[in-house]
Amino acid sequence: MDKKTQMIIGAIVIILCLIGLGMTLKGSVVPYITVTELKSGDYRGEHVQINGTVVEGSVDWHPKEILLTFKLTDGSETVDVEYRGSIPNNFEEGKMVVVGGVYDMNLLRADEILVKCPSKYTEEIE
Amino acid sequence: MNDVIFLQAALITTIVAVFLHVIGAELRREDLIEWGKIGTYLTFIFITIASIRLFYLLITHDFQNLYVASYTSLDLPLFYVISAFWAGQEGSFLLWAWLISIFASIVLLRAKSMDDARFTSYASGMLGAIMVGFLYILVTASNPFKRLDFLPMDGYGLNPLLQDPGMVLHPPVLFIGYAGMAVPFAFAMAGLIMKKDWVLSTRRWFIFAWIALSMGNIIGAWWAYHVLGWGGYWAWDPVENSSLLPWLTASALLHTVMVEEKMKRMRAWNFTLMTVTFILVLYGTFLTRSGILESVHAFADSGLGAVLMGFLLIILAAALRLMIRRRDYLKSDPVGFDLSRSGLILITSILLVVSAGTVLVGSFYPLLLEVMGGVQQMVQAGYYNTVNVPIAVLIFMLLGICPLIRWRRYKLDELKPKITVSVLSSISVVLIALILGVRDPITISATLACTLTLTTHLKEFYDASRSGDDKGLSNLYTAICGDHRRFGGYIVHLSLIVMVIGVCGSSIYENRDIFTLQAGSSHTIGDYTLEYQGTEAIHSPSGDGIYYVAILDLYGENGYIARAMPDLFYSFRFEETYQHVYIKSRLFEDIYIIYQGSEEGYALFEARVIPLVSFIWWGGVLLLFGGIIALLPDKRRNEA
Repeated sequence: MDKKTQMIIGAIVIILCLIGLGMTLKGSVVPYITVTELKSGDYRGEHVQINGTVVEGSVDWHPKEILLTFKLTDGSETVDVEYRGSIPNNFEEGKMVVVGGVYDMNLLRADEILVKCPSKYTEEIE
Repeated sequence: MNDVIFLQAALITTIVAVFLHVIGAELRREDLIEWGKIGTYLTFIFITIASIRLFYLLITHDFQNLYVASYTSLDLPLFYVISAFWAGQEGSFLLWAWLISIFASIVLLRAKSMDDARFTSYASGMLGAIMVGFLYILVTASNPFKRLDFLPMDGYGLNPLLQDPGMVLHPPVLFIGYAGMAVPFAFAMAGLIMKKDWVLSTRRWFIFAWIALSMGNIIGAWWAYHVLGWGGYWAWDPVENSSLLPWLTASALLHTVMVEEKMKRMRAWNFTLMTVTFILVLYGTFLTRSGILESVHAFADSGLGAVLMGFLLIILAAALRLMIRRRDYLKSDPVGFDLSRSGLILITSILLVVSAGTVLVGSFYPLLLEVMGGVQQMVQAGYYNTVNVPIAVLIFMLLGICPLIRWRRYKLDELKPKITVSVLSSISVVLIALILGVRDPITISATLACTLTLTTHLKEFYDASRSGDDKGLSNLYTAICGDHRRFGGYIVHLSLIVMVIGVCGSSIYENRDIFTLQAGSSHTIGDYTLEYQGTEAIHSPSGDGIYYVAILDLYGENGYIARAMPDLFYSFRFEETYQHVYIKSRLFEDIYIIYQGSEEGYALFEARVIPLVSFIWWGGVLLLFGGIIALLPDKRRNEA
């Protein structure tokens, strides 16, 4: 194999890898939006991640059915969330959380709840 | 008098020291260099006083200090009061600066001859410049000695999730790795200025920093696993990624420096990798605190972000300018992609850099989309796994070949007899796995690559034990003493295999279940049965909360194993609930139980059976051991 063929093969491999990388990346992003953006955009049936605050007093928990329901708000808009899974550590009313799930018929069927990292760097003294 | 004065004094002495070191080295003025040394030592002394003061304020609960009030409280155990030093941003920057000043002083104490003194002087100037950056931030945007104009009765307290030995160790170990990387970087700059080798003289510093970086990451993963309660240890979140990035490039550099040592090649590549690694270290230190990964807008608002960008750009510009000025020196015969040790190292280093690139792309892609005007997007963990699994498999395949090849160029025919054993053993292990019913492609490729590497490495140890006049083990001992880095490196390779086994087992074969139990009822998961006995509420001894303890009897195939007591802790101070995971570690799997709470007699649990996860932690211990071996000074064979 001469140098030129090697270069061409190398270039083709690199381009294929880049295309693969790009496609993987495009395929693994989900919109990360606020409740207002969820309500105003067209996200029906799509997998989304919503960040917001768990509304005080809205959490309803039924361990027997393994069902957790609550309302999520960004201050102006609110959405109902239904979740059947394991409650993450530190999940609390009034907390900032990220809820991943599918939105349909004014209900977000969540499959994951992430509590914003309990970062030691963000706590502010009152 | 405010304690920040010590940091201000340190800032002044460092600035002076930087000038003295650089001018002294430029003009070959020994007296200036000597004064520069004193400047560096003084900086160390001032930062040490500041650090001791912060420890003192923490231990004496001086809540008028904002930092002490923010991260500790009266009822916090002393152990965690001390660790609060690095629980917050201000303290961690102080720790960073302190570590660099310690390292800079050690560098000076070890320097010897005059030519050496100029070299050390440039490097000390560079280390000083880095300290200037940190000290500037410490006296302005991030001052740990800010005082309140009133005296609070009690502090805010340390987040219960951080009250864990893992979190006591993780930050300082990682920072030792970070600050440790500053030393070889400073010498690389000095080496380029003086056209002098930096690779050999900083070899041990670099290995030391690499071990600390590795251990910092592993301890962080271990903390996440046993504290956070989501059953995993690595989530590919931007903060974790930022400490993985310099590890990847440093791992590449760890190997390419050998090419420069042996063949005087890859100079430009090594200098670039060193610079990139250090820039990534700074990125890891700052960007996670500056908010850029949350959103571009948050970044623009944070004053720290601007200082950081300036700092990064100055270092980048300095390194680039130096590279351009020394382009003739950096030029060396290129290393070809051939079947020789240097060729394989080149490929490995490219793979590691590509891996780092994909992680970086994943971290910044959301930002790019946002800048281009779209809605914010999140990159899922799946992306990182899909992209990095094949890269890792390739690297492990190379790892199975590399030790068999020396520096000269090999023909395929020469390699064949050497690699037969490894190839045969990996193929037979894969066949056994297939017969046993393993079908997962990742498991199979990992098995193939890991067995290849394992066999090759064990064979190296075996050959070493046969290549002398003594009995096996004493031959091996002699061989290891003669080349600590080589055998230490092999042990680290083996530790990576152990960790890969743990990662594959725990991520692919995890068994997970969520279920409700009433007192007296039981649930079976895998080979285990859990029998729920009820819940007890216990006030914590210090009176800061209540533990709701669920009591479960855990049975295995051969009967009773243990009483499992996962709990929910309600903290009065934080008005929050924390889940404490119950983990029963067995040799080949962990049973991981989380109690989620109960209502009307129904208790909700999540249980996981996670195979092989403890291999990751044992692999970490082995990595540390291998690293220490690699650091030991070589006893030359003829001296013995």
